[in-house]
Amino acid sequence: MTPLVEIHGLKKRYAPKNGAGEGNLAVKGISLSIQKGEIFSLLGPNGAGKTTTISIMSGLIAPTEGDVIIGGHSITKNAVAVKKLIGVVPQEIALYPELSARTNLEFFGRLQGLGGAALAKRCDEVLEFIGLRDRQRERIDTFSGGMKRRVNIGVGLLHKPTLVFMDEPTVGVDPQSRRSILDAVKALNQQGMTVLYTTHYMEEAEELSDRVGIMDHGELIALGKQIELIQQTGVKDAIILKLPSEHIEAAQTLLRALPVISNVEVDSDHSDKLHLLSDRGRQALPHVIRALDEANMIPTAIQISEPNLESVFLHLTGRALRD
Amino acid sequence: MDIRKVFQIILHNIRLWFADPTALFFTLIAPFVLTVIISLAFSNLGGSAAPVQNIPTLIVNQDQGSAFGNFGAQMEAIFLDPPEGLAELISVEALTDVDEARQRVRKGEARAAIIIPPDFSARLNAASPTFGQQKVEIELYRDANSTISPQIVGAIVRQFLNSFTNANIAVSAAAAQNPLLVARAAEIGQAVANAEPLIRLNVTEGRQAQRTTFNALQIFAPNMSVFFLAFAMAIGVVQIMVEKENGTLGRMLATPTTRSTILAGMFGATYINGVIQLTLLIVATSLFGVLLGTEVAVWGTDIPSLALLVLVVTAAFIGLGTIIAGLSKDRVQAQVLSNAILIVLGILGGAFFGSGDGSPPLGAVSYLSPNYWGANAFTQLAGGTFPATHFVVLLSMFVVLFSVGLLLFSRRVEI
Ligand SMILES: Nc1ncnc2c1ncn2[C@@H]1O[C@H](COP(=O)(O)OP(=O)(O)O)[C@@H](O)[C@H]1O
Ligand SMILES: [Mg+2]
Repeated sequence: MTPLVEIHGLKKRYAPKNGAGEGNLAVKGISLSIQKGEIFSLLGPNGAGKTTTISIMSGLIAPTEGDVIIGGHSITKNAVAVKKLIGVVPQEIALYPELSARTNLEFFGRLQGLGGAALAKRCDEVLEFIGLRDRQRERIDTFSGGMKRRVNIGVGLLHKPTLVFMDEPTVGVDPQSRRSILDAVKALNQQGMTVLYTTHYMEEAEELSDRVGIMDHGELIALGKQIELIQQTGVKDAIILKLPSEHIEAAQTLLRALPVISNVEVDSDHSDKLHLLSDRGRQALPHVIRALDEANMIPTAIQISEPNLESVFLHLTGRALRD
Repeated sequence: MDIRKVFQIILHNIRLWFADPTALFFTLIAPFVLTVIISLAFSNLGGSAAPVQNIPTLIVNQDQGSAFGNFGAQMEAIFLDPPEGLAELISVEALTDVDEARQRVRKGEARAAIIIPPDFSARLNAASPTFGQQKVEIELYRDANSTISPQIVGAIVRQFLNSFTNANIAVSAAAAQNPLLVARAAEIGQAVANAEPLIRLNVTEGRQAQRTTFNALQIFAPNMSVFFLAFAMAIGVVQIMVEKENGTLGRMLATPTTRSTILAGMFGATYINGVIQLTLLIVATSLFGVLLGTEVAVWGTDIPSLALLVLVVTAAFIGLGTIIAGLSKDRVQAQVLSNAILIVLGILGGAFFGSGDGSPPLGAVSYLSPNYWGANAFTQLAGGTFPATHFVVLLSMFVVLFSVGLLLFSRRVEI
């Protein structure tokens, strides 16, 4: 079966900022394909090149090298044919704040080629889907962040695209809206829509995706099903230790010196937590406890975490995903 | 290019202006109010915006008289020393040379000339056997660029002629005390009674001449309107960069809509915005002129030429806005740069002071400013001359500035 999307050796070098020197090489030659009907996630930290990749795929910017084929059409040669197939949900909210939700939908719907009764029907359906039917006549600038996000998504769905690009659609929303967005993505996929989803939240990629591509510094550093990635990279369970904060630095130095430990990182959200990686997984725990005990440092909590995409990323880059 | 989508983008932009009252304020109300204030402040510059009075009127009496008197001279005398009421309305000067009178009307120095033909009395001779068969014509040569004043002069002349035919001819005839006429008194009386439409007032118009003085509104209404138009056009172009930043431009681009369609829609909307803005300002300041009782139409009376100028001036300024944005590094620079440049060009063009005679307000440097060409084109047209040079200059500005500007702009904005 030919894939719905084929990305071939895609590179993007932005124009240099002040006209001098070489511009930033934001995408460094990535190749991948997406099958019809799957949810594919591009997972990577900020600046990895996810948005740049999506912008090329939606025909907003031209690639420096390489091409993207969607539904058999090349984005560089027949952009209009590609654009009929795709729906784009940009990372930043791209709406007219002074217009109502419905007027926004109608305008972009017309540019999609919809009109008349068909447009009205699709607007109704989309407003229903994003749960804003009763507030459709209100101006966008009166909406909460989560509501704006939902309209932002709705605009990308108007013409029932075969393939939808969602660029970090949950950034900056409350947990409840986030939940409803993730559920919406799954619902769309169940209706047969192929989804390219980008995120820097490991949990989202884990929950949604059939396959994941991990991006870092413009490169695709891993690609496949989650389980495959975990197996390929050979990551094991991680050990998470909670320590009194005054011991964190000393403990980090101490544990790094242990032969069984391959990496020690401070948790990005909790400065009193350490993440330990070991090739021997949880079997390294006795070594860790002994070393800490000898140094008179008593952990206040110990936790074993199953390998996940976060640990894959940590393993591949030596950095936590949310740096 | 998809014309239907171009149209939809234009409609969408018009909806956006109406959703934003401050935009409407700055494009319409602010320029109008400033025009009014500045015009009033300068209203004694090169003309007056005062109520109609002392309408400069010329009278040329060529009447050679007849045996029964010189009716032309009587008429001239009445105009030169008008009765109570008329005295404040018109200010009449007698001339002997018809050509000179016409020329002075064309120059705008007088609103109308009353020209009495050489055979005026002869044809009004009630005793003549051909009396009543030949029409007697008085010519009212009026300034085509003035509206109210020539009509007032015309009305006065008509009123004068009415009473003149009914009374004066009979009186003159009787006064001649000619026995022959006394015998024919009944016949003459009949002829006179039938002579109502005897004298026809032939109104002719003069335009084309270079005007030397202008009404304050004729200077400042175009100046202010063009000054604000320039900003509106620059803002319209920068708005495309704002939409790029806001992501809505990208969103349009992600639909099956070509770049040229989107550009045509966005620039088309800005252009239409400019045309609407200028048109509304023309209507508003014209009405204001009428309200003030100014004697000349603020923007002249040649509507087709006025419309043509509106189109070309708006085009020239959209070109200017495009090249400024195209030369700017980013949106912020485009805004700062266009504000600075447009204020300087406005001053060079005479936005806040003008020149009473329609000459370049700052001499040759004014020629560098599209504001001068735009505003002065309107002023010249109001004065009765189609500004052909201005038209060519403005059109060339549009072609050069817009094509180079669009090239730079589309590269900069990556659209
Ligand atoms: N228009 C641009 N011009 C120059 N550099 C850019 C531009 N957009 C993004 N970049 C750079 O390209 C890199 C990738 O950015 P982006 O694709 O936005 O990453 P992500 O979406 O994964 O956060 C970053 O280093 C970013 O600074
Ligand atoms: Mg991004």
